[in-house]
Amino acid sequence: MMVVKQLWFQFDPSVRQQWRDLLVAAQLVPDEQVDYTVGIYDGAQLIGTGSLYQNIIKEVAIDPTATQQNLLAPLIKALLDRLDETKYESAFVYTKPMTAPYFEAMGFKVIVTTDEVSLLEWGYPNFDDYQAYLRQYQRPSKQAAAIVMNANPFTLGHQYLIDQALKSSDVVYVFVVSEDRSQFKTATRLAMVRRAVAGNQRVVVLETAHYLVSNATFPTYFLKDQADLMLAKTQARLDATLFLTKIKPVLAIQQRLVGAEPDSPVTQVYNDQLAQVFASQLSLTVVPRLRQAGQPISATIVRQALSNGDWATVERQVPPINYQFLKGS
Amino acid sequence: MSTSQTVTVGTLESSDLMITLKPNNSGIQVELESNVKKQFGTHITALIIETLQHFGVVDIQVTAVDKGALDCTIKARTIAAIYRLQGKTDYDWKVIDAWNA
Repeated sequence: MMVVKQLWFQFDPSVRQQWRDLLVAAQLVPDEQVDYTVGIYDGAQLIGTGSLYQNIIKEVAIDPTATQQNLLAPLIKALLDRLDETKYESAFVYTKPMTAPYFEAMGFKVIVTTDEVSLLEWGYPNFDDYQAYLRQYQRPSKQAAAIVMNANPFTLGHQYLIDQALKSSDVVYVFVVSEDRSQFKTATRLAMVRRAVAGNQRVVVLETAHYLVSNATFPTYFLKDQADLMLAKTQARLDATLFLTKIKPVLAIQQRLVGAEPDSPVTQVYNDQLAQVFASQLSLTVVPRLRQAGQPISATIVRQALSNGDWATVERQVPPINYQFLKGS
Repeated sequence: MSTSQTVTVGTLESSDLMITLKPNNSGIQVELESNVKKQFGTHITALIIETLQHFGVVDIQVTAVDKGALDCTIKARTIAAIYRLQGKTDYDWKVIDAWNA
């Protein structure tokens, strides 16, 4: 008799061991950063498992001896039911391209596939909606550029990147990372960028929803120092492929600009993968870091200065309009 | 329909249909995933649309994942989804009989 139930492996060493063994048998790395886990038992034996982290389905494994029993359907349904209860209306799954068809048969749609991974989604709003959103903001252009930034917070360095883009392009799309995993809230970061570029008709500020540098496409980006660089590479590749194949065509983007990142290995990996994936199909410009009196401009420095109450440094590193904003908040 | 939320009804088991409804402003749009789409795709889609129309639903985005459901199941799942979307709990299953009158 098969039973699907919630697993509390965090509290039970024997369950944890079973869970880890099953994942390892399925050639997955047990990753305990999950919010919710279900398991399928055949008697006392755990033969299937799947987890959620927010609305991302992960760590899905079926015992190799039980793959003929269509255990994936009840497993995924249990996770979708959980999302329904917790008011999520969409889900993502990040899986091997080989297993993507099983998810497609359950109504998931492939957003993007690389040689290593596929990203699929279920529910609404979906990637079609995001593309429709982008189309709404599309401007006629001869030479359009794109920049993706977290702007945590917006600095003169970001401003410089936009100014460089404006030199060679007639329209600049600035994508502000929508994922809420930074010191400054998404709405605040978006407001800072909009404020800084207000009045410039050639700059269009856009949201990334879940589709660029997000928990779905590039979760290790937010780990920075502790990120596994091999994993970061895989994810960066996916993110870059998604941008190249699904976003660039909608807005007719011809150039993407990134800031040089000598100090952050993850961002370095990201920039390298962008260059590799774009290859001859999209031009990538790496803009050297803006320096001021020998000191680089950086959001990290601003965040440090803010926590130390060092307003002089903050004032030197951010546009005046954002300085007033930070000072006021 | 005033609510903007999405509802999903049904399972992914054999002989069932999982249907998701999301209100929109551009008519009835049905996306169907089925391993018998080639043989019965048109029929299943028509049945879902017909059921929605019986309830006066005109603007809806539908995603249906069919696992070989019979007509009665397809209708039942669609009706349940409409009721859930409208927040109704007093299901009137007899309404199906009335369609034949």
